[in-house]
Amino acid sequence: MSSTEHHLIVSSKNQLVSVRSEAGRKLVIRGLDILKQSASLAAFVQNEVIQETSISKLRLLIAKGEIEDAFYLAEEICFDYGRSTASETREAMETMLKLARTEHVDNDGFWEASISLWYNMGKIPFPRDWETSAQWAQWSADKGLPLGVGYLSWLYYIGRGVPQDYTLALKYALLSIEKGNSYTLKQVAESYQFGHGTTIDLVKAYAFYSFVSDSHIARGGTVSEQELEEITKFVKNFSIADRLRFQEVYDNLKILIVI
Amino acid sequence: MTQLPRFGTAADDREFEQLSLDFAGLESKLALRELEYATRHAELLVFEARYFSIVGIRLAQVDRLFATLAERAAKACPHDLKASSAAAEANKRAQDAEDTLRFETDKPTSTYQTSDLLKKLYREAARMVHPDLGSDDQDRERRDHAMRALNEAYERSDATAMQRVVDEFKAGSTSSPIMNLAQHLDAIKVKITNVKRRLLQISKDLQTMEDSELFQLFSKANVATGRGQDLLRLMANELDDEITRLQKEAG
Repeated sequence: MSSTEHHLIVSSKNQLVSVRSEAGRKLVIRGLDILKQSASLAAFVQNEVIQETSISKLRLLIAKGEIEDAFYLAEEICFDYGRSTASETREAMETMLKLARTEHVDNDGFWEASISLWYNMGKIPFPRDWETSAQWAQWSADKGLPLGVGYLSWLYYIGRGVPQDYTLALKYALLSIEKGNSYTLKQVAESYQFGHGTTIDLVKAYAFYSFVSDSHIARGGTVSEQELEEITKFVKNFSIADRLRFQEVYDNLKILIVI
Repeated sequence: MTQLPRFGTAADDREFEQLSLDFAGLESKLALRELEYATRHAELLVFEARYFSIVGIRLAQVDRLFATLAERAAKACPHDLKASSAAAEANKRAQDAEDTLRFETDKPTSTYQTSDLLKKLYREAARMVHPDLGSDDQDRERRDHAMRALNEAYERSDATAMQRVVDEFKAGSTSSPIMNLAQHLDAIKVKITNVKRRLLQISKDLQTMEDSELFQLFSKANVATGRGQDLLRLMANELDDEITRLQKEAG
């Protein structure tokens, strides 16, 4: 059809977005003309769309009870610090804090974990505050979120915001790994290597280090080439029983952690 | 058994950790913006279809009636060149409108219906499969395929298909090559750049959408909905009056 050429509003991925033909667009423009020409519909022409700011969108979402969208928009406002005014950013931060402490069916502890990270990073508008960060991590962990459990274990491991407690750190780290979280793998490897909160178990340590190295898991810690060479040398000293046990631990991690 | 060498601790990898945290924030933002884009896109498609079925169809009727009247006037004055030219123009306009409607209404009807569950699924899936989070060309191609499938499923409000995209993506995932710390840092920096570029593109695309005539109409219809009115039905009523008047004139 010659009158319907596809070229109007096309996204970067070449997806047709809006009115999909020139002729279709003409029909839409005529619709707008009807509004302008009609006395009874003139009110809608006068009522131009108000340019919404992020903070006004946030307030609207809260008023409509769309709490989940509101939380993520509030986080986005904080993330884009500088684009909104200081008081609006502060309002967004307070909204995040308030929403995360209100029970919501879609919050599985992720909001608390997210806030914990904000306090850990000390990114404006959040102050750097390890104790508050630990408190939010604890609330996230209480809901059983793997990320929150893992983060709490790390805080116990390094003793920030909570007293250093290797035993508790290892307990939480293993729990988060069982739930599929990769963040604490290297920390657990270290615990077994140095006996932090457990007896030294070099076979397990090697299994955890190897898994991190082989899997290239972002945020699970990194193993450098030099460290890798040392690991490879070390494995030569393993007995057959050690090797079998290593394989068992390694295979178990492969099941638990989806890469 | 020999003591293992001391490895750099997780807490020591400060730059990696900081970049990872920044990246996690960007991942969230990216998923959120993709959701906003996909939702706006789906809403406009639904609105567009409704517009053509309620208002477009009546505009085509108006055009046809005008064409009939113009043709009659031209026949009444066969030597009036202006009248025959106006009749031809009116007929073309009516034909265009009818063709457009046929073309637009032949398209599959959008089944998009918003829900918190779909939005949550989309956000989580986009964080997992987004092409700009890919590590290499092959990975990005696989992710691109998954992202397209996700967008299509979201537009159909098909939660099962969305979940299938995630499951198939997980099943097809393989280990990435071993990298040292420097390579890890470089890889994350590349991803951060890609994600920032995509965020900018989404902003531009959203702006393009919001600048369209269709979006203007959509916004006005939303204002009307907020007042408990159906703008498209009100427009249809206006056109129905016009159609009745023209029908009487056409006899």
